[in-house]
Amino acid sequence: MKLQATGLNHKTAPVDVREKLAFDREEIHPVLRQLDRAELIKEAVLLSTCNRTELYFLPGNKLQNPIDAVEVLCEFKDVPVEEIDPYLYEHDDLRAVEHCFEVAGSLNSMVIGETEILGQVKTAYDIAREGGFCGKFLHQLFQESFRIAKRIRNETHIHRLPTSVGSCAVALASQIFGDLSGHSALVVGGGDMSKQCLDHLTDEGISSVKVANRTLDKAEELAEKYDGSAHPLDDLEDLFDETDVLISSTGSEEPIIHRSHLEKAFAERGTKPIFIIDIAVPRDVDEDVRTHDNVYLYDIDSLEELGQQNLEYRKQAMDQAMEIVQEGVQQYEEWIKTQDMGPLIKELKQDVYQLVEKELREHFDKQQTSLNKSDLQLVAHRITNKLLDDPVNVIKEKAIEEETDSLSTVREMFDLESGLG
Amino acid sequence: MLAINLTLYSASAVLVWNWVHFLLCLYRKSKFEGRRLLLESLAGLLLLSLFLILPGFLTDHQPLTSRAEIFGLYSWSILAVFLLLTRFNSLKSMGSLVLPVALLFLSLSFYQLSADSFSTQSEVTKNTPFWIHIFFIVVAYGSFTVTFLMAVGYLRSEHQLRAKSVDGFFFMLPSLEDLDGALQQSIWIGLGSLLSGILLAFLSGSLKGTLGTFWFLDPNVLGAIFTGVIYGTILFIRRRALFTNRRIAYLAISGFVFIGILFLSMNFLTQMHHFM
Repeated sequence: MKLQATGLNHKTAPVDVREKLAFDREEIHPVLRQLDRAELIKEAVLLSTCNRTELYFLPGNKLQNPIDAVEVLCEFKDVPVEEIDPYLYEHDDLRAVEHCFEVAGSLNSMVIGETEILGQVKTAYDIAREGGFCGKFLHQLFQESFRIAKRIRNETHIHRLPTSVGSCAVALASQIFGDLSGHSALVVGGGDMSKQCLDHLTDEGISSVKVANRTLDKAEELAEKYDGSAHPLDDLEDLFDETDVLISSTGSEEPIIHRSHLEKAFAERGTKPIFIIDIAVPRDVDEDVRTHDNVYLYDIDSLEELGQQNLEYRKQAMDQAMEIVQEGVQQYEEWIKTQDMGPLIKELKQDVYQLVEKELREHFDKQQTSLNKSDLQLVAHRITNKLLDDPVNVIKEKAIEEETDSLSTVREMFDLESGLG
Repeated sequence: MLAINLTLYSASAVLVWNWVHFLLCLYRKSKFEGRRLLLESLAGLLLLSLFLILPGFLTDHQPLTSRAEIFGLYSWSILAVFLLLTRFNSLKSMGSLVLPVALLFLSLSFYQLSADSFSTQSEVTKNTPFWIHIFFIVVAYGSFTVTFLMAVGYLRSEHQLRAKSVDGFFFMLPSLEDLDGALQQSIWIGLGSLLSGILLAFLSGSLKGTLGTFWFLDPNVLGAIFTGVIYGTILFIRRRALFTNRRIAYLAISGFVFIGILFLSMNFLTQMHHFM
């Protein structure tokens, strides 16, 4: 078995090159069929995302170089292979296995620990399997990669720590309020960062969104997107008492939210805290707000610092994750070794069955016995299976331990021709 | 005696492993195996329950009247209240803080365990539903211990949030809302149990006849009432939002320290109605 992996990703190629070799879902079957017809692949899975296009395959009879397969991909996308070649990487055998596990475990992603890639790998595998391009080697490889990805997710904190401003904001909100459903958010102003925070909050189930803006139309536009309500900025003070998470991002030169605004709100809210995310520069929230016991105030710098710190933690978790990958590679290697023994074991059994059949035929010809023939055959086969159970197990063990001398002995013993390639 | 001891040893082994498991999850910062940890804690609780129930069946001993049993019950109540609170609040890694406290009192139970532990029988304990009164009082103090632990967790989390020094462990702590909820609920459980225990003591017969004095001269009775007043005040302050949650947490910790001192001094400074 000589597994290959070739392709390009965000580390080796800029986006304008990557997009030339990006495949839609509908294009994958046709291109794999072309590779199959050209006898360049025996099994293949094509993974194509915005950050990578990779082909995992077992070479066919006519493949001399992995670039042959890439040429077919380029031809399909009408791209000269010379434009792609400088950005390609190639891995084979266990390095290809390791790469597959790294990709599925999001260790090779632009943001280490991101969660989308596993779904994308599963989709690529499903597409290949539906088209009949997945044989037992790639099936085992990808099933193992899903298991490794799950282990990385469960046993390391590589996924858990938020790194973007929006995800940090949500993580902090969750640490204050727990389950965000039943809580409300107020956005003052607008802007991309506010929307990012709001996206994450609504993903986590925040139930009510209010938008306040100097221009009511803009507030309505944003509120509609999140199924919320729009309010003029003049109503701001009245909105605080029902707000749990406040995101402020106006273009105001002076702070617009002061402690006095919140004192009125807390008269209604009691001890329920407010989490304020001040994304604006210059800041919208006055410093005296920070001193209130029931207010947790984070500005853009704090959130970015937290994200950076978490990114460092994720990188530290890489070592632990790589250990898991190596364990997976070792297990896959052991599995391959047992598969290589398949033909040997099959031939051994066939020879023994033929021997038994021959003996029985000779016996019945000579003896003319009235004993039930099928019963005797059944008994003979059972004896054969029992006889061969132990030798077969030993063959597998020796293969894992790479004791080639023992395996040669077995071949010689039974005058067999098949075995390790 | 062997069967009773075995249940205590088994409960301890299960709970020690449970605590180690909590710590491993925290150390590896891996996915919190909440369900599995909860089942382990439940198993420990069940074994501990057996330890408390068996003497009543296997001997003539009145339950919950030896020091070994009292410490065992205290440990049981800490665990039981914590597990009950996990039904209503997501308390995640707080088991790593609660279990060592429960195990501390379990170890005191070990220390007090002797051949005489289940043969003690006094006239006082024979004639009244004494053990039910003991049960409620100990569960009350167990609840207040959980209150103390939730307050500690709250302050740690709150401090990190305010100082913006969050780390991987921070995200494994429960949310402030869950900790605050658990703190309040544990006070309610404690107050309910305390009131039940005090009422049972009064209703079960003449207290003067039992203790040899009027109830208002008994330090332990007064201490229990005082404890109820402290925690009742905390709940009142919380409900009226007279203090912030952070100050309430400090108050809960102070209240617990105070009743701890009160309890120890009453048991060491007087011979009346003590069990130490």
